[in-house]
Amino acid sequence: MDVRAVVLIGFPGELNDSSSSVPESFENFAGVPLGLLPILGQPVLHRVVDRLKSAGIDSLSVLNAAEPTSPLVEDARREDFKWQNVTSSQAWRAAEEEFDALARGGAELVLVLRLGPYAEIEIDPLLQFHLDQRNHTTQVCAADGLLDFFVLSGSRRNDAAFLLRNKLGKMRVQTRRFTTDGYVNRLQTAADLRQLTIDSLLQKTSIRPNGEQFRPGVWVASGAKIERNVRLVAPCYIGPSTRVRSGSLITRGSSIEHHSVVDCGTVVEASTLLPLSYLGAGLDLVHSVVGLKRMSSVKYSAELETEDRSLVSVIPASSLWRTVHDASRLIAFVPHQLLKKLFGGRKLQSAVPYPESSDKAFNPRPVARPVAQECQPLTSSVVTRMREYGNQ
Amino acid sequence: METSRPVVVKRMPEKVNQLEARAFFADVQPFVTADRPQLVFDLSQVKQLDAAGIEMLLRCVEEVMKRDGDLKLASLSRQARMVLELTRTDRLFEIYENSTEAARSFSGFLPNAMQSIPSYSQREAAPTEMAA
Repeated sequence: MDVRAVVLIGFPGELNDSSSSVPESFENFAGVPLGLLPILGQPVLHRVVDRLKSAGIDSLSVLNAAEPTSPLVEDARREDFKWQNVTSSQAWRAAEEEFDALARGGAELVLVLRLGPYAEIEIDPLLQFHLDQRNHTTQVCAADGLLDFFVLSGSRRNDAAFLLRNKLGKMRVQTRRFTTDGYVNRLQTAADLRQLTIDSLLQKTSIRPNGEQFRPGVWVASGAKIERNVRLVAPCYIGPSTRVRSGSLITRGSSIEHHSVVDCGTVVEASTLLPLSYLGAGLDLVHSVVGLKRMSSVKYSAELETEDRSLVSVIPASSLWRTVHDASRLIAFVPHQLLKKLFGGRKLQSAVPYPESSDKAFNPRPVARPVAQECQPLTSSVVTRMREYGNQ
Repeated sequence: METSRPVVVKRMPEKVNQLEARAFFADVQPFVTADRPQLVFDLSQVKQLDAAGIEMLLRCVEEVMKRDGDLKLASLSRQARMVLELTRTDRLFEIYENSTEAARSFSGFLPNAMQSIPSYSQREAAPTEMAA
């Protein structure tokens, strides 16, 4: 049987609660659809495409209605499926035309799915259900509601046109739905992205990290540079060509995606650092998604756009620009340090928390900061130390 | 991923104050300073844990990391969990439901036995810790 698929990316979805308005960050992060963001080294789209391919669907078309210039959108393109950028105003029309093209090309069944939600649906039982029920259109339903995942008969162009003109919201003829009990994540907010990452690290989904498990629960991809005194607490993922500088702590289901940098002494706890992101030194990132000059806190349900180079910045996508970028930082850093040494005095030196040299092991004290430790009793040794500082 | 090195499980005392912490450290020091040590501290009996106890835990993890080993915690009592969370030391450790699982985790990843992994409800944004 000739089965093909159309995947819709960046097509606007609807909230389950139709009474509330759709927020700006709904199903996207800084304008990039969540379905195009990487989860443990690979975009969600690729995970979906690979799943469809493993079910024997080789002909796939991806229609992208999101801004195509972002490097993350570029990352999601691959040779083994057809990619088409469409404008958001013409998106549904383009989907209809694509369905017609597939039907004319001999497709007997066409899967239409919107990302949107990430759902692990068993394709063979779904197709069998569609045929057994003699449906023209079959919608998939999960435990928490309907999914934008349909099987359409290639010969029923009117049903397809009706469905796509109604933005997957209405079917021409109501039919019995296929209920899935597979893993479903609505991927509507940054919290959903975090949940998908954690569920994948905890092996609750079929997503596996793209990297080598060099210690139980710690995956590191090729080209990652992890300095010696970094503590990685399972489960966590360090993506390809990333750099984790000394004194850092990556813990509790965190994911550092490709070409990102975590600077010295920074804690990344239950957070995702998106590709090509720089996270400054001495920070404490907790329950957040960071990247594309934006921070989204799951804890506070808040988003912040920031361009402060000492906190969060973007690393250039091209390797040439990255080299120039690194060189310019070095050129700026060396005279700054020289001036600081010459005129800064001792107080300035002690104020900057330098990481220890890389041959020493991880020092957990600055990361943990036990409260009681900072408030020592006034013993004779403490007084002696205070006097020493006074003399300096 | 299989490892043939031994895993040492030590139960921490009920009170971990300065005196007890020092005694406990002296007790575990041979294991901590071994080559690539694999240690599990069972905190099920801990009722009191003060700054000296936390300091001792940090010292142990520091020593273990120097030698390319690891230290994991298991069976945290409520009191121990409170202090570890208060001092934010909990995020430095893999924490398991019991010491058997913690010991087994040196040989392979045991996602279902881990504690303190945040969970985000799809309807509510605020993170919650997964209960034991």
